[in-house]
Order: sequence, then structure tokens, then C-alpha cells
Amino acid sequence: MPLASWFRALCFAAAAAAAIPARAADAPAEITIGTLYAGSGQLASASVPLHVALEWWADGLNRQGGVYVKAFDRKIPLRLVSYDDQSSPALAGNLTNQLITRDKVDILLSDSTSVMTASAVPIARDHRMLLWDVTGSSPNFFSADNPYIVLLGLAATDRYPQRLAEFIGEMPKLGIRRVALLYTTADYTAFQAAAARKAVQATPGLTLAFDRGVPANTTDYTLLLNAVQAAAPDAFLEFGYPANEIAFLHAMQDNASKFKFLFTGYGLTEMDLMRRNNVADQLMYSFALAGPAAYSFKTEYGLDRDQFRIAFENWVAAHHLAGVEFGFNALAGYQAGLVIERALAVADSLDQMALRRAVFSLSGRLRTLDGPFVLAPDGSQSGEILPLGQIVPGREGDGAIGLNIVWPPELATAKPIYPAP
Amino acid sequence: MLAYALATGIVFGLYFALVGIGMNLVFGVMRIVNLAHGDFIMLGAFSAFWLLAVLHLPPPAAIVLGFVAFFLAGLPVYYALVPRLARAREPEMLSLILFFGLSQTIEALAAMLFGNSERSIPGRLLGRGPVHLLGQTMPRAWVYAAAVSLAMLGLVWLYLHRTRLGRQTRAIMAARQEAVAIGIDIHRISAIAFGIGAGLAAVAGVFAPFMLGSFTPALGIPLDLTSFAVIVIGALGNPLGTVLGGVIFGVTLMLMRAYLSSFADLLPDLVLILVLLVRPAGLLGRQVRRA
Repeated sequence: MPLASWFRALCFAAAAAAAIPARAADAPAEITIGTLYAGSGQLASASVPLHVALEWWADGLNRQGGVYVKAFDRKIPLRLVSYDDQSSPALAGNLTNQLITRDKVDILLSDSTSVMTASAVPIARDHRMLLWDVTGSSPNFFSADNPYIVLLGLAATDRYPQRLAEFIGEMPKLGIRRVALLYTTADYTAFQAAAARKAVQATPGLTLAFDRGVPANTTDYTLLLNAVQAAAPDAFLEFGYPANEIAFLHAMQDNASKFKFLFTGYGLTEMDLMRRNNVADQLMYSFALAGPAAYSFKTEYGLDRDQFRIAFENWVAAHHLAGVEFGFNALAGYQAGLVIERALAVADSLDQMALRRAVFSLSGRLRTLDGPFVLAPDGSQSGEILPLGQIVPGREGDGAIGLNIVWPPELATAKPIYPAP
Repeated sequence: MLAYALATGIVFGLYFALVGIGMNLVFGVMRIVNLAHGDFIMLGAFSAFWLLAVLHLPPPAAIVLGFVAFFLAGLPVYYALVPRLARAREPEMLSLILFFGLSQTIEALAAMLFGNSERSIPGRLLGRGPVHLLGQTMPRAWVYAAAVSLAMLGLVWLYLHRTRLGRQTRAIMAARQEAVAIGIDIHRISAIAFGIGAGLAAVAGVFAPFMLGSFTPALGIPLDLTSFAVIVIGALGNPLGTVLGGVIFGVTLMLMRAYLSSFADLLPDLVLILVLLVRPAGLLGRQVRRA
């Protein structure tokens, strides 16, 4: 090698060697992740498992020295800065502001549910802080002119019931003519109901026999069930949060109500919670979107569903956490962690726009236990579309619950059983 | 649908009367608003849940045990909080703050001990299948809850009108200073009333899982709002006005569910505003002052 080439190589090596320590020296002592959770109030049962999963994830990485951050080419410990918003959107707004302005967190995560995410969206935008939105799936949060939000844990609610909407188009082939729709008027459920309504109206031969929204705090369903039965539907689609679903299923039990086709919004999302509330039997032969807690997606990064379940339940037991169940929300917390982990591994800096670019670079390339991660240009989630399942008796015949995937055809494992026996 | 809404409204309303009567009794005797009343109901629900889960005791046993235990627990709570409160310059306002604090503390402790996820008790423990009542079919648990509510309301009436302690209680409710002047032991009578209020909350709590589908530690505040609406409709300070308030609230709620379901959660606020504007003393307010 000529002398000049040796000299150039030496200069390059020296510059590179000088640059690496400089980057390491600039590295923060920790990456702070600011988040809220509802430690009490109506949304606590959804929020707490999500937060517990985040704690488990951060602890796991910290035991290995932290998360790898490409911008500093080293592992950096994670620190969760968490506040209890008590299921109050107003308090969530104040605390989000506090996380940004006082705690100056590197990464801002929203609380679970659209209800609690709503107050964080404008604040994050005003502060030009990327909001890592875990399960706030309302389409109202996303627009082309707001680059400060990405949805991590489930498809935006106008896309979320896509498989149900497609299946509604097939209902006349089963002999279904009249459809009843009952939903809580929160964004999450109202948007799903709107998608279902649109599909019913677009399907020749189907009639909407009953269509009613109820407040999200509804817990007495007897009168509503009576009204639905009076409409004599062939199919009944019900959308609610877990507390609504439990009350609804109890009302069905207490009134000995039965429907030929029943779809519930949360039936396969928090099945452990349904079991513990003694309403799982009521779900037999009902239909629901098979969320990642019930359906095992092909996983290319992170733990798969069963591995995560074991790890999560061990963590809950070891920390004596009362009333925290494995379910979709726990899984969504882990999913948020996985996306953060991957994004930090490719981001050029901790600048908010650099982080956004890093998250978008994962779109279409990341498959976790939550399904394929695909972002629309506005930051909403378009992957993680769930198949439609029917809950059936388990193979063991010991009261266990089994699952048939009935739609889409490429994933179907069985034909729908209609009418329910 | 109208007949069904009316029938279920009456049945549900009787339960609401049970939910509210303890708070109203305490207000009538002590002139304090016990904002922890809803949390006492929540604790009653947890008691029924754990008595079933651990000791396999069914809800009827939980009613008796819950009433006795909460009555006894209410006595020291009264002596720890209320006499000091009564000596304050503005006891009514301070009671709101103090009992709100107690409510938050109870909720936080319950969340730490039991977790935040929903719990429920299977309705089949009270018998299988719905029953026919007032020409309609409704859940068996609702009918039992209404029957127990009626029984408890009747016992409260008997206590107030047919016992010496009850007459002294009414004397305090009607004219506190005169009651002191004739030698009634205000604190003893008030402590018993507070204990009865807590016991009634425990009984309401036993039925909460059946009436409300499930319960969590966060149940307290919504039930406080309901209780407040119910007793304002009937008459603040008149426990038996609560029955009327409960039934009106229940029927109105079911009519809203039937015909304007999206707006049903506005009901407590609307009723409160309406009654306070039109008849601030409540529908039976005048009678209580003449009692």
C-alpha cells in the first residue's frame, strides 16, 4: 500500500476512534420514558396490565445493561417516569404536560384507551413531542398535518373491525337477514359500530333491526336486552369495554337470553377477565375478533404470545400484583416496548422527528406477537388486523374454550356455526 | 317497552333507595354528607365476594354478616371523625372534604389490596332463570334485591318510629338543640345512626354485583352521585323520602334507557339540577320539617 493510502487510512481510523468516545461521552445516563396509567377509576383494569407489562419490559432490558441506542452506539439504561391519572382525562392532560416540561422525558407514551389518549394528543403536538400512542385508536387523533403521533398496539378503530365488516357481507349466505347493533358511545366502540353499520347497510338483503348507543358507564343491560330481543334479530353485534361486556353477559345469563349469532367486542380480548367473572360460558359459540391474546400471530421479533404470557404472569406473581390479568392490554404494553426498542436501535438521534422516522422505518418490517406492524402516513396503525373467530368448546371436553377462525378465508380453520346450538 | 321500563324501573328504584338511605340517615342526624358512603357500598361488595370465595358463604349470609360487621365498624369511625368535625366552625363544608379524603383513601387501599379489575358474583347463586313480576320478566337477583331493600327500608321505618332510640333519632333530626336540652345523648344516637348507615351500605354492596354487573374499587364515587340524586329528589334529611326518590330515579333511568339511551348518564345531573331549581327541599322536604 502506498504511503499516502496508509496515511489516509490512519487519519480515518483516528477520526473514527475520536468520534466514538465523543458520541459515548454525549450519551445520556438513562433514556427516560414518560407514561401515565390509571391506578384507579373506570379504566384502571385496562391501564394497569399495560403499565405492568411496560415495567416488566424495561426491567428485562435494564438487567442486560439497558436498551441499545444507535445514536450513541451503546446500551443505555431505561427509566420509566409514571404518573397515575386516576382515569381522569383532565388530570391526564396536566400530567402529560408535566412529563414534557418538567421531567423532559425522551419518549412520551400515552395511557391506555382512546378516552385517556385524547387529552395527550394536542399537548404532544403543541410541544412538538412524538406521542407513542399505545392503544388510543380513535381515527380522530390522526391527520396528515400532525406528525407527532404513532399508533403502536392495534389498528385504528375504523380499520380494526375490517374482518367483521367483510364477514357481514357474507351473512345473507348464512340466512341472516336482520342485524341488531348495540354499542357504547366512546370513540373506540362507536367507530367499530359505525364500520359494522356501514357494512350492514352496504349488504343487500340485510336490515338493521336495532341500532342504539349507550353511555360507556352503562352496567344494567336487562332493559336493553329486552329491547333487542323485541327486534328479533338474526345477528346481534355488541361493542363495549370490559366492564360493559361483563355486565352485558351477566344480564344475558340472568335473563336466560340467547341469540342465534352474537358478536362481542371484547370476547376474545380479555378472556381471562371474562373467565374470572364467570361469564365465559355465555360466550360459547359467540363471535369476536381474535386479538393477539387469543390468536397466535407469526412472531419474528420478541417473545411469542405463550412465552410472553408465562413471563408476564411470573412477574405479576413475583410482585404480588393483585387483580392484574394477562390479556390484550398487557400484550399492548409489551408491544409498545418492542417498538421503542427497535426504533432506538435504528434512530440517528433522540430528536423527536428522528424517532418518528425510525418508527416509520419499521413499518412493514416488524412482526411481533401483536401481528404485522404497518403504519399509515398519518401515524395510525393499518397492520394488526385481527381475524374473526368463533368461540367453541375446547377439544379436551373439560369446559376449556376453543377457537375457530372463520374469516378471512385464507386464515379460516372452520366454517361458522350458525345458528348457535 | 313502556310497561317493561316502568316495572324494571320500580324494582331497580327500590335498590337505589337502599343505596341512598344510609347517606340520607347520616345527613338527617348529623348534617354531614358522607362522601365515603359509596365506598362503604364498594367494601360491602368486596365482603360478599370474599365471603363467597373464601368461606363459600352465599349472599344471604353476607347480608347479615355485612350489616353487623359494618355497623360495628361504623361506631369507631364515627367517634374518630364526627365529634371533632362537629366542633369545627363550618362542619358541613369540612365534612365534604374529610369524607372525600376518606373515600379516596378507601378506594386506594382497596385497589392496592384487591386490584383494579372487575369482579362479579354469578347471579345463579340466587336461583336460576328470570322471574315474572308486575307482568314482566326480569332477573331473579333484581327481585331479591328489591325485596331485601323493601325489608331494610321497613326496618329503618320501624326503628325510627317504633323504638325509643328511633324517636330520639327523629328528635335530633327535627331540632338538634332542643334534643340536647332535653338530655338526649347526641353522640350515642348519632354513632348508632352512622353505624346503621354503614350497615345499610354493606347490604346494598352485597347486591351491587348483581345490579351493576360487576364492581371495582372505583365504584364508590358513581354510587355517591346516585345516592345524592336519590336523596335530593326525596328530601335531604328524610330517610323515608329516599324511597320515593329511589323509585323516581329508577323509573326515569329505565325510561331514558328505553327511549334516549345515549343520554342516560346525564340523568343524575339533570334530576339534581331540576329538583334544586323547582323544589330545593326535595319532594317530601316540607313534611320532614314538620315531623
